[in-house]
Amino acid sequence: MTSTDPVPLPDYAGEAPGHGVERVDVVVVGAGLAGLTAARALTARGLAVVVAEASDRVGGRTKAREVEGSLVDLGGTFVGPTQDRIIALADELGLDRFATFDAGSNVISWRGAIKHYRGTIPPIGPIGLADIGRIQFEIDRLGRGIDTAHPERSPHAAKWDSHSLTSWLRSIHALPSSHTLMSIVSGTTWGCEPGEISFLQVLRYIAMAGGISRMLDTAGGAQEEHFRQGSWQVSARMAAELGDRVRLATPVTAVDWTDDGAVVTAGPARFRAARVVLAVPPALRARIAFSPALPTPYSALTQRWPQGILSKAYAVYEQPFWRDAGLSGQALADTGPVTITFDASPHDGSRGILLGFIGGDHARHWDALPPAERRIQALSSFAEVFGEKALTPLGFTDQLWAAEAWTGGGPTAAPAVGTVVSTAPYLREPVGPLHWAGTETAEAWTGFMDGAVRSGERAAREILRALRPFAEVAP
Amino acid sequence: MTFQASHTRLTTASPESVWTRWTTAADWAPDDPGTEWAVFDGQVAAGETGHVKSAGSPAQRFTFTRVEHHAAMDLAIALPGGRLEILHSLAETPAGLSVTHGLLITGPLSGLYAAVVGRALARELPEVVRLVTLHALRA
Ligand SMILES: Cc1cc2nc3c(=O)[nH]c(=O)nc-3n(C[C@H](O)[C@H](O)[C@H](O)COP(=O)(O)OP(=O)(O)OC[C@H]3O[C@@H](n4cnc5c(N)ncnc54)[C@H](O)[C@@H]3O)c2cc1C
Repeated sequence: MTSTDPVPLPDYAGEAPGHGVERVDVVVVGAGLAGLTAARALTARGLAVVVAEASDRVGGRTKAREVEGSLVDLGGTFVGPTQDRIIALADELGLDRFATFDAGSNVISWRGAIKHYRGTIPPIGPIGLADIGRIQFEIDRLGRGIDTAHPERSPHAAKWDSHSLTSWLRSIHALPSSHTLMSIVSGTTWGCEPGEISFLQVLRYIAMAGGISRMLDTAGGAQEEHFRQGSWQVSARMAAELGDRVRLATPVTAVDWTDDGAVVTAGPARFRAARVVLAVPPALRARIAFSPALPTPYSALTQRWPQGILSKAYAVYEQPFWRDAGLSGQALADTGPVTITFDASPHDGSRGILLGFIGGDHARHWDALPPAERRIQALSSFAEVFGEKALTPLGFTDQLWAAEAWTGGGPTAAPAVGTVVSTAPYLREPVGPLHWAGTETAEAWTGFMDGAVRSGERAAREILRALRPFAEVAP
Repeated sequence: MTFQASHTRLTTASPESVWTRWTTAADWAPDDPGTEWAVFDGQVAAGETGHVKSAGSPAQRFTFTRVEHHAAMDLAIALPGGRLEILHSLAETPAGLSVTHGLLITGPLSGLYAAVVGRALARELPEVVRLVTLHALRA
């Protein structure tokens, strides 16, 4: 197999962990993008590494599935400008990117009417537009003042942390239309309602992405491109390189640590290591029994950075029929369950694929429905904006991230009001031999695949500095 | 002048179960967060009356204007200088059962009523249809 051959999809069969205590330099907990990136960097510097992955597949919040012969990304999908680390990694691993289909008109289902529009400004009336414009300006302006690596040190940090996005919008007398638009943004960006998330985190997150437009746009923004082979291949190829260092179906349940090292327990498997990288979402750290217990702020963090709830629906059609009607496949809806759609057709347009996002309360409701009802409701949302043809796809699939045992939701953590100032300082500060990775710990593009890769690189650098003090480590 | 709005959702729920939600007065409040209670004075049949209490307003008398078994149920509330009609329809389609809730405000003061209550009621329609179909599915 050459490095550019796609790694076959896993059969999810699982692999039983071995017995006895294995000695390694580093145990990485979690084979998502962050953990695998760390493991790859450490292995490249000659360290003995084991990656313990709870699930029976690698990739974490990236996952692939084939529907009617087409590959769909069930989790992380898009990349865009300034997401340099995921792009560089994917390039190195031989993946190709292609532009997200963006030609033609977008559609909005707004207050009971369907409207078509060009560009990024939806036709919600001049007053509504002026209001959302001033809100975007204000969020971007406030965000520029945030210390994204240390939000607790930002001016007015406590004040912004005492607001949710909703209460801040109320404080500036935002119109109902702006509340609705920000609720759509919140549902898909953080998987929560605007009343659930700390406004300090909102500012920090958007600032890390380079502003609202960069975060939400297709051309020139975070949705600009996707991977021809699917984003899961990034993890799959790293795991293939790492070979039997990656142990699937190996959920870490305990970490006994001293300043000199740790013993990591995963079922019957035990590993003794000088350092441990915990590359799991903050809330999932709570499933691991640390002995001695982590300092209080660290355990508080596991309770106060809950995962959002984001689900995806994909419908595969013979053709991207909406393109014939001059539509881009991108739509916004104030009704739901699907509130945002994209054209996720393969690069050659050989099939038409619509991707729909269902987030926050919509996902809480929709996830609880029987599969047939989820399907019909998602297709109904597609049909509302793209017409009746959307009701008869060749294939359909959905992915409920909140139901993934070792992910617990998505796309990222949504820390609640009043929790960021007290917990953010402990997101990535090592504790003895324990280092923290995962997109939530990133200093740029947190919540995104790029942030995950950056965090893995950073954790690897911390360990190399500690274990190879005389070697040259990139800053 | 008229103001109208509607929301349609496809569902796997049966026509019977949706129809039962519509025609059971006690189901109106759980299916519509804006409704406190509803009572029917008689049968669910055209010309029959009932009362409905919405949050923040006095109870209103309504009249069933169209009742077609497993197909449609409309009612009207007379307002000074206007008329509010609440419309419900069901249709079996190849893709599933199509459930529509709508409202129509007519009369000389329809513009005023649209601004005062119509737009808010219209915004609630998707949530009401979601709840009706959800509860129908559980039946
Ligand atoms: C629906 C959805 C859409 C998204 N869209 C985009 C997008 O378009 N672009 C983008 O850049 N990002 C997107 N993201 C976000 C992106 O996927 C994530 O930021 C990224 O994949 C996170 O990687 P990670 O390594 O930090 O964490 P994860 O991928 O969550 O990896 C953590 C790993 O740890 C494992 N684990 C957990 N507990 C244990 C344990 N006790 N022992 C062992 N292993 C454990 C898990 O199984 C998992 O494999 C999306 C996410 C979702 C859910």
